[in-house]
Amino acid sequence: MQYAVLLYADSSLETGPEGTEWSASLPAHQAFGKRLEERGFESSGAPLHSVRTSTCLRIRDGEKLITDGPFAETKEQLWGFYLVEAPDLDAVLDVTADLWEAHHGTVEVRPCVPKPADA
Amino acid sequence: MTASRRSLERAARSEWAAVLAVLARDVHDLALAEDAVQEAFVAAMERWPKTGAPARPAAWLTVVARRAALRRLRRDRSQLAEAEVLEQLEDASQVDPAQAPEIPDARLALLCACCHRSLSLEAQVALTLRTVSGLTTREIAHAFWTDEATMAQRLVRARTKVQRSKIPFEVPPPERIDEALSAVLGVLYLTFNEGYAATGGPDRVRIDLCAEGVRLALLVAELCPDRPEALGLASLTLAHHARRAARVGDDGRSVPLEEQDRALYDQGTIARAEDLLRRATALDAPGPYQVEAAIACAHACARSAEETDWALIASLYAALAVMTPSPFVELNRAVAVGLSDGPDAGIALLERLHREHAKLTEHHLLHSALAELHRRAGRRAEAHACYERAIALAPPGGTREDLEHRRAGLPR
Repeated sequence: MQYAVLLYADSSLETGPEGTEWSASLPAHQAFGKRLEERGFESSGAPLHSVRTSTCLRIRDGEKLITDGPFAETKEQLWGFYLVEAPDLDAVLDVTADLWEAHHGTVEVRPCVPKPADA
Repeated sequence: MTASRRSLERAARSEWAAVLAVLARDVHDLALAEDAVQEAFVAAMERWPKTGAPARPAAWLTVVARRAALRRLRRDRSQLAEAEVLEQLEDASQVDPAQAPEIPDARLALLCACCHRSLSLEAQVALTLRTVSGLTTREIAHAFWTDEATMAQRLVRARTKVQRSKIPFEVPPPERIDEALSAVLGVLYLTFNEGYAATGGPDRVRIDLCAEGVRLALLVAELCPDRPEALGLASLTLAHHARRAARVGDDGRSVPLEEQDRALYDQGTIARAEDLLRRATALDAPGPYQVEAAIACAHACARSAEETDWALIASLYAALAVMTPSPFVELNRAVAVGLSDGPDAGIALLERLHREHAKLTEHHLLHSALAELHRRAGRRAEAHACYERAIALAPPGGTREDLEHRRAGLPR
């Protein structure tokens, strides 16, 4: 079973390596990677640069509209994500509990729709 | 319907949660599991009157339900069942239902899934009543004063979340069991209180929801006999339930504790409540449900209102205030102090609460408590004024009528 683990934190914070929270959150992410490995949960993912680097694309009636900035202005910004393979929701909630974002922002866990081949 | 058919239906119904718990674990889909178990029950009602109930009804129903689930999964490929699930179902369906071995008790796992914290509290309650109690959607909707369509939608959403996000149908491991069990107890407490207080509608006590809360609390106490708070909650619900016949008068009005006819208290149920509380306290880990149970037992055991041990009750509320700080617990403690040490001692505490808790200042309970203690102190004018304030603040309906009734009962 695959879950998307979406990491949110305050929009005013600078994400990416130049932000001060980067080094603060790093040990928790390294520990997270280790926990996943110990349990044999496969995972992938990436931290994201600030929402200010975001670009949105919409095509309506064949017209391409490209805008600067995030899809929606929110108090919290998405600043990273994981895809985690885990047996059930409790297992994911368990391994994500020590993430920096769980303590300073929000961790959203959402099940991924299984690929047709898995069915 | 013949007597034997009714007894067969009762036998089948008592197995509902046990069979559904196993099926839910098998197919990891509550909607499919419910449909399959329902089908097995229909089959049982056709077969059992002719053949007699099998030696192990739950095992029989489980195999027949597994076959039904398998048929549904094969018929509807869009169900996206994992190959592993299908394979296991196929194997488990080979058994002759009459020869099937006793099923393991998975009801605690089912309760933990229904009361999972990733579901909203109202979804947890609805799912527990539908899945574990086997109440119909219509019955649950009625109990919560909402329409059937809304409740059906709530249940569909909850079941979908359980299935899609794969909430486990397993008893949590030791490091998480406390958290899971406290969620389960919280849901049952809420269910019982909802029935007891009957907040949303005209009838003050909805016996059905209370009875269901009692049944579920007893089930958890039976499944977790070494959990003091589980025993405490069962004791608490029983002690309150024992007074149900005395709580509502012939006119449908709720009868205040001091006017209740103690002969209507159900002594057998009180004895069971006390026994559960003794077993809980013997485990030597106090908790709020045990303290509330002790308070409820103290009320239920008093032979008359005058013989109530208010000093004990006041000290229990003091203990509860430490465990779960709340101005409402303080309010109850103040009333108990007023009844044990004299009205003025209670009034002094209430006035302090009045000053310190903005939430209580505008709550009818504070003013009706003040009114009651002033009445006991013989201060009619003060009592009248406090009732006026309480009536103005009370929600319209039963509560307000009760207060008006009490104000009218003040001595001239």
